[in-house]
Amino acid sequence: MQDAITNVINQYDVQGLYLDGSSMGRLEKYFASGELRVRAAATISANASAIIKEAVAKSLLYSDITRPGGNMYTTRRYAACIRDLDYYLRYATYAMLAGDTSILDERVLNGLKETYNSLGVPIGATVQSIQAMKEATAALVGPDAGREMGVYLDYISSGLGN
Amino acid sequence: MIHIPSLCSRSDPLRGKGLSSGIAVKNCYRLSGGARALPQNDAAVGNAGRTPYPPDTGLLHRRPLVSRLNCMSIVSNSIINADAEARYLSPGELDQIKSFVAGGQRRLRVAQVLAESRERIVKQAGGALFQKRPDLISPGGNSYGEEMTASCLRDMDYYLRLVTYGVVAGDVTPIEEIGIIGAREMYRALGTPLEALAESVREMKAVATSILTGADAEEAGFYFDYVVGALS
Repeated sequence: MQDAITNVINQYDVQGLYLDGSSMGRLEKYFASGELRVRAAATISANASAIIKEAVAKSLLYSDITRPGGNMYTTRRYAACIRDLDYYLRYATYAMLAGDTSILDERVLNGLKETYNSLGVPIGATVQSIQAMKEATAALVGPDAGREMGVYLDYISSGLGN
Repeated sequence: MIHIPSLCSRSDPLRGKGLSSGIAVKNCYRLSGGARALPQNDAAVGNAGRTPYPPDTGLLHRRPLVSRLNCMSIVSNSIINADAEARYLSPGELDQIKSFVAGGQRRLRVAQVLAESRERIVKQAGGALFQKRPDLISPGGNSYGEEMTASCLRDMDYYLRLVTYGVVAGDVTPIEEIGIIGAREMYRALGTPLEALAESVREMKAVATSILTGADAEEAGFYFDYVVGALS
């Protein structure tokens, strides 16, 4: 994985360059938002199960998906669904802290869509629940950090959707 | 980092040999512990009109498709540790990141000063090195001749650049991954005296810390010391 810092270093090292004004500017922005990121990560980690509970209630619980024949019917599948949302929230939080999406590509999205398709997991419903997590998270961490988390949750959504 | 043959190696085994230079690059890949992209350091001090090496064409010189996975900062490092246990970052890890980002502006400033003073640092340190070790630039020495002196200075510039990366990342792994793993074996194979290389980095530290002040000098000094220790 990369983070905002190693991303810049790798890019510049490939060309044998010292960091210049534009890269310094990017890093400055990252460092300036660092405390916000750390604070948001702490809040999310302390409230992860509440966020997921709320997101599930909003997006999945009262729909056909939890009824017999739905993909969240049977407690085993319900639990598997919760576990997946748990993963997405955790990885989105990592990516938000790092200020870089590479960990999502490498550890979440790589092959995920194919896995879901082969297991028959409905991608539309998954995306809906991720969007619900985005709202629940933003309500908890505030608009700035919420927007930043939104970037990475959206990244997972679009990676699944495309 | 793929060094062009190098600090003070007397003959230049990779130059002008067509196929064999490709093999050498392949070996360098392996030496440095994994696929990696090649720097094209045209702007480096003292390139002295040489063709930048390696050339940017040919199968072996293409940029690898995978990103370098091991180039870390404290941020990636903590995340990878947390992920190995499928947990969020602990309050202690978050605190560390918090103080890391709080010092970010300062570290950027240090890196900027070093980058802006690179010519002066390399030139003065090179001068000091050759004063201490006149044998290097005497006939039979490893930096004898304009061209060899230039590649020696260029390698110093490489390590200075890596030090600025280390300062910015707040971690030695970028330096280690790019320019330390395999470096001793490589320089030994090229017949480059490692102690002279280490000495040159020590001299760069002396110049750099005289430009910087107090805590900034200490911060940068740590990464120079790391390179010296790893090379000697």
